[in-house]
Amino acid sequence: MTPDQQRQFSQALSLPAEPAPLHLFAGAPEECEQRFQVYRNNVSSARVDALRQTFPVLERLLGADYFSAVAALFVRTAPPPSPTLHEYGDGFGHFLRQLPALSGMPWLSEVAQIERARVRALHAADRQAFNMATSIAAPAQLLAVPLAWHPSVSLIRAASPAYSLWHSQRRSLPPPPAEQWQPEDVLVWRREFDLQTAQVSGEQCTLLNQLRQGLSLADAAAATGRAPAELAADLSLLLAWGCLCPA
Amino acid sequence: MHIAPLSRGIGVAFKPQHFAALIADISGIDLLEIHAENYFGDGGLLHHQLERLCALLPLSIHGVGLSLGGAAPLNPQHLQKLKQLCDRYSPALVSEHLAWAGDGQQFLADLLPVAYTTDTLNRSVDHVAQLQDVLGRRVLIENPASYLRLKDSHLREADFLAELSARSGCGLLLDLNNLLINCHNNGGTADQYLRALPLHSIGEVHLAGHAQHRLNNGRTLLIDDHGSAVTEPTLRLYQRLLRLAGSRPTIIEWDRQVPSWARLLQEVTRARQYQRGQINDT
Repeated sequence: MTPDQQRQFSQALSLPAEPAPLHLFAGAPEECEQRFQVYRNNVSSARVDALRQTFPVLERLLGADYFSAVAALFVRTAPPPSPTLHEYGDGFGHFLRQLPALSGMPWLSEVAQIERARVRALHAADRQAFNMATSIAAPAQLLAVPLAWHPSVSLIRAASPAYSLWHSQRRSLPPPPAEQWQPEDVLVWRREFDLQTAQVSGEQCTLLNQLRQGLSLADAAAATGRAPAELAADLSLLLAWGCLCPA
Repeated sequence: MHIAPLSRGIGVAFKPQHFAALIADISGIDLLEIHAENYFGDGGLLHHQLERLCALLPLSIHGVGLSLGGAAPLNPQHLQKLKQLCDRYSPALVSEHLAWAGDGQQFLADLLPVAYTTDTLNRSVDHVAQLQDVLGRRVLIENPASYLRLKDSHLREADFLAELSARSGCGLLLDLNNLLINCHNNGGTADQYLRALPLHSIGEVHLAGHAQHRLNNGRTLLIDDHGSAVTEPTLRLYQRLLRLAGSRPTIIEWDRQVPSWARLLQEVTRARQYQRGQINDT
């Protein structure tokens, strides 16, 4: 096929409203149309399946049929740019937010962020987490050690109880009631090979963001006005979780 | 790490859900195949599993997204990712498809048909040569399943593959399921196809199941869905190939409605019986 013929083929595959490029095929037009439809179905279902694998909780929240329908819309407007399908779907949450039928459910896009972060964490680079037990730094020196996020870490500052929603669907629990509808901050990371997802406090978020900028613990304490001792509990937790590395 | 040339053996397309059963008893299979693009991530459990398995079994790295038959230049980032993967795992076999799967702007997530013309042949030879240069090794090119004949095609698929192999120096990965599917869907016979192939160039064989799809005029199309056991006609063709060409490393592909490890091992055992000449049903 020439580049132009290939473009016609791929455009007709991606857009169901486009007529099949029958002039490219040998055989009776009606039969070629049906044969071309096999490719159309393959392309659409493979792309939708890629999204389904990344967003199982969204599928549960929306229902399988509705999820398939909105995912099919998304793949037409934002097809995967590369064969590395585990990198696909970053814009799906935002896309859902723009759909008039879902505009009253902005929390869907925040659940989508959690699910995308989990897939990113699954494939992120391996790196040894900072381990206080084996660190050569004395406790006082620890204040000066620059720390960085593990490559798998994502921090999501949601306006909705996105973590509680996500967690409830995973465990078949009731969603959070209206009186507990509060913003939640969510940390996603990988502890060696196990995916982790946890709700974190606003103070822990602030500390994480400061460490991400390369601040030492002492600098972070100075920046927030919190005494180093007050940060100790938060830092201990983050280190125990394995989401910080030597910078 | 296994890098010696393989001449026989039966393996499977690896599914992570089979890891625990596989690592507990690796003796059922002789080699393992992975889809390259699933391992383009930097780290994590998939790579950890693969490192452990690679210490025990020869590996076949099978690419599905490079678009060797496409009109666009090969994606340099994709080539580099594939090279990094091959450098990391030193696979015994590396393969890709005679197909295209994207147009440089988007990935179409399917193996799309190539027009068998001189122009496409020249371009495919260049692409395969580029791939082999980047990887520093010979690769195997797989015959695709196809549901359409392109009007511009004037070469037979087997002749196209033979010429591609002769001019680029690549080997062939003969997918017998695809071969039967193409003969059924687009005409020709398996015997004609095998006679046209340079059998000495075949470095690997794929076996898989397929589905049937009925067209409005009552005809059926065979669909390469990898969703069931290897069919009897495919196994008979495998037996014929073994008699003509001898043993080749062989992979069972069962990628949808993935069976239990025990069920998959039954497929492996059956294929091994054919490979060892223990089944004579023709």
